[in-house]
Amino acid sequence: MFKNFLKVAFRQLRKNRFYAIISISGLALSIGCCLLMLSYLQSEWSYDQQNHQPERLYRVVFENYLGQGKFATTPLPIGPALGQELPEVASVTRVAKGLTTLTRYQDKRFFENLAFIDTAFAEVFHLDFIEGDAATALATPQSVVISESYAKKYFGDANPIGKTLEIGSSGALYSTVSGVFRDFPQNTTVEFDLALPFSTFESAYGPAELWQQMPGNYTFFRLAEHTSIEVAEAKLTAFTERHLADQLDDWQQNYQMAFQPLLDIHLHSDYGRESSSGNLKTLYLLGLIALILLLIAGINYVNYTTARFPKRAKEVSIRKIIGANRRSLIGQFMMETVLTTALAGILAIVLANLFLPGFNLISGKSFQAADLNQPWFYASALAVIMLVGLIAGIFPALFLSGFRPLEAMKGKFHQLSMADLSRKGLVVGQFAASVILLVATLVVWQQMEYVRESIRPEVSEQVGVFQINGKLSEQFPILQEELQQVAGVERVAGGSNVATFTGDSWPMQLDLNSPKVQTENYAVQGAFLETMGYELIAGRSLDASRASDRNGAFVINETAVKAFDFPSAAAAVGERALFGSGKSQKEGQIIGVVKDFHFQSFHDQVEPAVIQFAPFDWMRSQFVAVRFQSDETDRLQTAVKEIVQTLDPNWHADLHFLDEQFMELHQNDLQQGRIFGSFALLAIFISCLGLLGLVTYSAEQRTKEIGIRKVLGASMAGIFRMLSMDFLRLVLIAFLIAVPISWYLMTNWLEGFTYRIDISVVVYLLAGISAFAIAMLAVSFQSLRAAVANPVESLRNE
Amino acid sequence: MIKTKGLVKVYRTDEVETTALNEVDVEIKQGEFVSIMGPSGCGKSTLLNILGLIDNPSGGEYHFLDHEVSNYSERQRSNLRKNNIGFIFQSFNLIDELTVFENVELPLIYTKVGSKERKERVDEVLEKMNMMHRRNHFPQQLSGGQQQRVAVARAIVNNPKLILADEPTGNLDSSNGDDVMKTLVHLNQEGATILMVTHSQYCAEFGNRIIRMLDGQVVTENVVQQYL
Ligand SMILES: Nc1ncnc2c1ncn2[C@@H]1O[C@H](COP(=O)(O)OP(=O)(O)OP(=O)(O)O)[C@@H](O)[C@H]1O
Ligand SMILES: [Mg+2]
Repeated sequence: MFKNFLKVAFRQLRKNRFYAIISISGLALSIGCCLLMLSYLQSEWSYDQQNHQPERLYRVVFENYLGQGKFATTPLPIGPALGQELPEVASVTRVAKGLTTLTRYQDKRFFENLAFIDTAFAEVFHLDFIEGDAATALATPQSVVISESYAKKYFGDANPIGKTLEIGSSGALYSTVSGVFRDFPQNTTVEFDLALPFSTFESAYGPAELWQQMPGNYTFFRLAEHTSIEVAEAKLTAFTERHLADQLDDWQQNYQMAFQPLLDIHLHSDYGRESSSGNLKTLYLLGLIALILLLIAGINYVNYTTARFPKRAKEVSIRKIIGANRRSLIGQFMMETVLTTALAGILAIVLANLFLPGFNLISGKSFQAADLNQPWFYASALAVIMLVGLIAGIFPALFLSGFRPLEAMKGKFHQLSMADLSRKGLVVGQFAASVILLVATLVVWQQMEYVRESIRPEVSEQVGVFQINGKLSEQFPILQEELQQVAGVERVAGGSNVATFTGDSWPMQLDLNSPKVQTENYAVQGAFLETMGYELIAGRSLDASRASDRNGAFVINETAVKAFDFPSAAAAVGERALFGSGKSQKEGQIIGVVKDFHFQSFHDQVEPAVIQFAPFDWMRSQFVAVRFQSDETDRLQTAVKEIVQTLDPNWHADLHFLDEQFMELHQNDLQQGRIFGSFALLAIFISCLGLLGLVTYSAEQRTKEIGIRKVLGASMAGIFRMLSMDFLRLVLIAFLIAVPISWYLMTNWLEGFTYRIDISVVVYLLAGISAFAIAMLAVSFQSLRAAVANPVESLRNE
Repeated sequence: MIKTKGLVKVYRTDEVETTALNEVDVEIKQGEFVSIMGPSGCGKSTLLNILGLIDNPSGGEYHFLDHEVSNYSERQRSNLRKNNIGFIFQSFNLIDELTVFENVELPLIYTKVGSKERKERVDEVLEKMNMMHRRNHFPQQLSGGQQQRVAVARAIVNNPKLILADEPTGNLDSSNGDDVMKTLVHLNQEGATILMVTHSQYCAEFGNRIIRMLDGQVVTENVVQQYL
């Protein structure tokens, strides 16, 4: 019996090759995508799980830091103090990260991801030492531990232990490699290429004792055994009071710390200066899209089976008359489905491997074939295939096996009209899903274009930015002079900060008794506002030739005007203000107000900002910004390299373009756009496969009708119209359904942005027209064939 | 073997009600070869289908092999059917996806005959029907006459007690038709009971009794003289 089932199943597939290819390839594509998606979800959900008892790991965060909102970072003294004073904190480590840092060994020189860590790092996190030893590797200030791939990059096969690295700008730090650790896995929140002990930090920059200065430092700890985080948290108020009551009157409201579980960070964190890039929305989206794809392919399968009902019905009734019972018939049809899905499943695994590079591009992961081909992957592949097979198979099986033999043989089953209706419903569903995905793609793309245009209104001009070191910043006037000589360069300026490379937040107040406002600080050299293209709305710009400007003049942004409660921008001009606090405080005058400019992601509200000439001697330019003609990009690239090379042979200039930097800030959105885009393509493709199948079926069904109509004088165009119109009408209905749904979804998505576009009608026109055109293509292929065929052939067929 | 009393079949569609069989009483004994004749639409096929247990009557009694089957469920009918009845249709009704051999084998599979015995019995009937040389062909590769021979082979492979044939020669030329009729006569002589619907007086006379129908009723039952 089983053999007979299998044989018939195979012959069915072979005989209906066209439909079989359609449904198998559709299923394979969508199952393949599902599998990739599963591996993505698996990787995201297993974030930070490599640590020992990861649920005991916490990060110190700020619910409110100096009235400025939530922060993932913490001032430097907090970590050690918590470790000493709270017995619930078993071990604590700080992880301070700044910009990428230039490191050098002989002629090898690259910008690297550097962190300062405490020696207890390896007690908190899992760090696997290949060379050296976790306990001692960072015991001395001159030591550095490096990752395995870093070691390969700089030292090749040579033993890195004992080698000396030059870290930071020329002559800054020389550290000896004391340990090599295995690279962090992809799905980890805290990671770096090389780490220096905090003792090095303190010997270079002085003791880390400021409780009101917020560097890019994260504090993590391991909760002691046999206690709970609530116990530790209950002690926070007393802890803050101990340390800040004498420094800060409003410490209770404005210095609120909390402990955040490490495992929540990747997907659930909404703290400012977050280092992890996970996005729960993207995750759900991917899951949803995978389901939709599976559904579409499943629909195709069901369509493919039901389309053959009339033909199969004859076979079923003959079998019944001869003696088949219902169970054996169900068995037979299930076997066909299982065979189809199994074939699709094998193909899906092959496709998943083939699509891996593309998927990495879309998802931002870097999966290898080895990450994919693991037991859980095959297990889930099997599960998906079984599930699809079962669901897609049971409906036709029950339906077909339930026929009364006589009715079925006469081809007279009333259910047919129902099947026909549901089949049409399915086509509508498929195309609606495709259109929704198309609209989503277009909206994301438009929003990203909006970001790009806001940053770079003139296509002909472009701002390039590169990082400099202390030596170069001392020589800034020469650097500026030489860059100005380069053809195409319009303006050059330096800044302690530039847009996108932010994170230098300082308190500012109008006088000692007024509230403090945290402002993003830009300590600049040269015509910074003009170089960046920021627009003044009141007062005047900074002027380096005026001594008063060099010594206490502020240009603030509109948001800062509001934060200080000035009635208008003009009213702010001329007012005096205090920048900084304690020993690092500077008084000056507000001389101008600049229109709000973007320096962070478009998701976030623009924060208060101040632009001034360096208020303190130690505050230096870390960046050089160059406004230039975009068509001179290549020339500038080489010129910057050469100029920097001559001024400081030890430095290495890496030119970034401002609009690209902003795009980097919107990685997640771009990624979602790519996801929408590729899945829109897939969905459309699979839907078209389904449509093609249906049209073919319908043309086959109506062969005789078409023949008779032709004999009676119907024109080819008439036949073509008759066959295509039905289906195109379905696509139109799908479009009408997709419009409100996609509008709702994408409005929702856009609301995640503080600065955003409105969805335009053009998006719908584009999505609609393309869906329609593609459907048209699929439909006309078959309709045309039927229309062109010789009537005699179609009549003889019956 | 077959005995009906007041058999009624009413087809109900949305608006019309057609009485296809109106109080039909027939009796067929073991070993008979009965032909049913009558104008188109008089209910011949309907009767045959009910007698063949692939349809159920709207009213009346039907005794088949001493079972009162008029209220049997499809499952019960299916069981009686596969062990006792063979069907031959005007349009052959072979399964296109199966070869000649597999089509003939099918009833044996459903009655759970072992594979070795299946092969022997299929080969035997194919031999008998002179279709051995085409055993691996698919139905579309055969002529009408050949297809009907395969259908006959399939109907008899299980040695059914009753063979039902609905216009078995309707789609065949006269020489192929004759072949089928001779086979039926031969099967009858070997002991099978045969019930055949036909439009041709010539074919009807191969049987030993003719039932004439008109408008859902049996009008006469005359015995064919020469076979008595
Ligand atoms: N499924 C059905 N639904 C409604 N009416 C039916 C159905 N099947 C048959 N009939 C009607 O029942 C009557 C008898 O039909 P039946 O098929 O038994 O005729 P027949 O004697 O076999 O005719 P023919 O010689 O043309 O095959 C006809 O009037 C037919 O229209
Ligand atoms: Mg008939």
